[in-house]
Amino acid sequence: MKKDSFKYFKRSLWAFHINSGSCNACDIEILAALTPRYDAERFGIKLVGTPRHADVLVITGTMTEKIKDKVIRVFNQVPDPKLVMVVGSCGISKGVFQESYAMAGPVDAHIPVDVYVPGCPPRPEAIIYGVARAWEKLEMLEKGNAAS
Amino acid sequence: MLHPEEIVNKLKEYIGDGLLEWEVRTRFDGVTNIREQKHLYIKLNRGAFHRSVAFLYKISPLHISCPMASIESEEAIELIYPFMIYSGHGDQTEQPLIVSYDIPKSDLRTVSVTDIIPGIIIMERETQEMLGIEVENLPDERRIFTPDNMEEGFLPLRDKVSGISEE
Amino acid sequence: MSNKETYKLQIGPTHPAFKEPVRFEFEVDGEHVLHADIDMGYTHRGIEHVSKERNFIQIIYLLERICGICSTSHPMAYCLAVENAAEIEVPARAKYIRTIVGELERLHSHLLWAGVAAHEVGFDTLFYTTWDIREKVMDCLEVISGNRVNYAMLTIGGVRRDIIGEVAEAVNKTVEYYSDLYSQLEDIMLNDMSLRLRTENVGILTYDEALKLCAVGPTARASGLAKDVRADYAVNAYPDIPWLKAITPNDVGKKPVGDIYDRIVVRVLEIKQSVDIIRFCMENMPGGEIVAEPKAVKVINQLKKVKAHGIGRYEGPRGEVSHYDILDNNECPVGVKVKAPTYSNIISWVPMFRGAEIADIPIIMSSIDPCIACSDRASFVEGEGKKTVSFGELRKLSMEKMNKIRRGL
Ligand code: SF4
Repeated sequence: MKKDSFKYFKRSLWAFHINSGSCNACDIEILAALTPRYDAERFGIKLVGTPRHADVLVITGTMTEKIKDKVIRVFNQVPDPKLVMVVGSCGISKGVFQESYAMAGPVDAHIPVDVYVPGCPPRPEAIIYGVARAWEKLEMLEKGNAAS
Repeated sequence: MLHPEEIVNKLKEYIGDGLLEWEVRTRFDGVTNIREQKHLYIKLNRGAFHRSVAFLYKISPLHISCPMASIESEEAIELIYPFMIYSGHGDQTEQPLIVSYDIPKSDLRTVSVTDIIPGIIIMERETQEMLGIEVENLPDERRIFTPDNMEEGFLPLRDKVSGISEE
Repeated sequence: MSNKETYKLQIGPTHPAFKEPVRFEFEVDGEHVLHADIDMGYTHRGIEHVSKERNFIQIIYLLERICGICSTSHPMAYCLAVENAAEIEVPARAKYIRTIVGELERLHSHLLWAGVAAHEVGFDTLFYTTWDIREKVMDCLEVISGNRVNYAMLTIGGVRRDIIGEVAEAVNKTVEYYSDLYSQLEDIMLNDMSLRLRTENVGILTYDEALKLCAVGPTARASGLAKDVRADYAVNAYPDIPWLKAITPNDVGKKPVGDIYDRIVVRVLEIKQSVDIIRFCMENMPGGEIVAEPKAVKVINQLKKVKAHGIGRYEGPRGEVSHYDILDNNECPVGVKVKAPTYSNIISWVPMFRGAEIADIPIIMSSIDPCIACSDRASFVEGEGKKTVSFGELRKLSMEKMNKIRRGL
């Protein structure tokens, strides 16, 4: 990582993970990113148990009809400033489940998304990189808020 | 352990005309030690189904391996139950026992076998939900998989598929 | 207690995997669960329906995405079903490669489960240890297939990649690594006192219940019901292995009770069994082709002429995966019926939860290995939904119980 990237690391970033109909592969890669080999916690990235503590909402999966309302509810519970990150191709574009009747569509048809991590599933490194990008954006947002 | 043909003979004795057709198919697997696996396909009369399952369960407890598959034709839906018999005996001796029967479209009803095999309940609920076949005596009638805002009468696994209503 | 009022407790609904996302509704009296009710379908993706619009080869990759953890099991069962219907003969070498990939997957899945279970009882050191160990098998799978998860190894009539040269070496190294490590792992998982106290006589599923409810996989075997597709039904190279049998707690000289501890025993022993199977296959792998017909178009044309039913069964890490496919002179199967192991085991949760303590809910939930992170969100709803408690607090309860037990030691 470039040296000046560290200027973004002012505080820890907490993420809340919600599964909106994924096949589980993306979820285990997110968990793998937290365990010793990749160890995202050394950057202060942490998964939290409730959306109300989170800075970033990490969504995996395609958004099924049945879970749509719950995801939107969770999204509304995350305090501002917040970011949404979609992990996995099926959340970005419905991926392999195109013609299904149970799909409510890609995630960004329902809530605003800031960071996309493509891949089916993406590697843990890609997920960590995605969180780092979210982080940059978050700090930018906060700076903007302070200025106004 | 009974040979598939012995199972058929016993069943025939018990339900008589209720047994319409049967067939044994063999499948082989393994490389140096090739094992033979006998699959028994039985076609029944709808009315004889519950009695037959009860009878077969007495021979040896049945295991339901897969949710019911279906074939739709002009007048009827054929419902296929992939049961397994002699599960857990090891030594590659399990026998698939595939039971099927026709349900006329004018009268889409069948009867639950949860009183014999309680573990089948989710599969029967799925059948009711996906195929629109009314399962009588089902202890729990709620839908499982499909979204709540789905059109009334939308049956995903029937041949004609409509969509979900746009709110 | 004079006040006999009971509460309704809701947990869910976010929970991954095909047909598995679950919302629980518990009826609780104080600390004890009286009754559990289960609501599913939150990640129902209509795969059986989507598969009607794909051709035979495309379906393999669709089915792989039913579950990302057992991502060889579903294509395996599907390929077996289609091969059964069309009577396609799979080359001997392909059968061995299928077995090896399947067992590597079991290895990673069981290690993953061990970690999750440890996490649920608040033993996070073990969680990180097992996940660290697990990375080795992920590396091995990556060397074989090029991807960590969803390996796309299977095709109708064989496999897509061979295990030769460097790849074979990597597999052998993985086998060595795990056999060296096994005794240590067994010691932690089976003899740790606090783990035992949390899991013994909790979440019991008796033999009769397992039989009646058609439980499968380690869940059934822990209750003494020796169901194992690998031993019961001839698939792949398993019939060749003379010592293969279903593992039950009897193998460590213990009478099966059907509690969570027994499920740990079965899974830990299966880690060893998997390592042994991979070693056996690497030593005895025959040469030859790896696929019956490499050209996808030809395969589809061949299958277009078939009108038959096929059944395909395979023992996934969590239990029996079973597919029933109907071929009818078409470019795609006219019916694909899928059963994932958790589908069979879900109903077994009901007796397991009866009488359990609230703090034990997470570990009972994960003891059938429903698929990892069901720990997404849970909330208690008391009375008319006035009070809600997050899953974090539920886990805290679980941790507190663990600490209490540790202190008592
Ligand atoms: S993107 Fe692919 S791997 Fe990830 S959840 Fe969707 S289907 Fe599974």
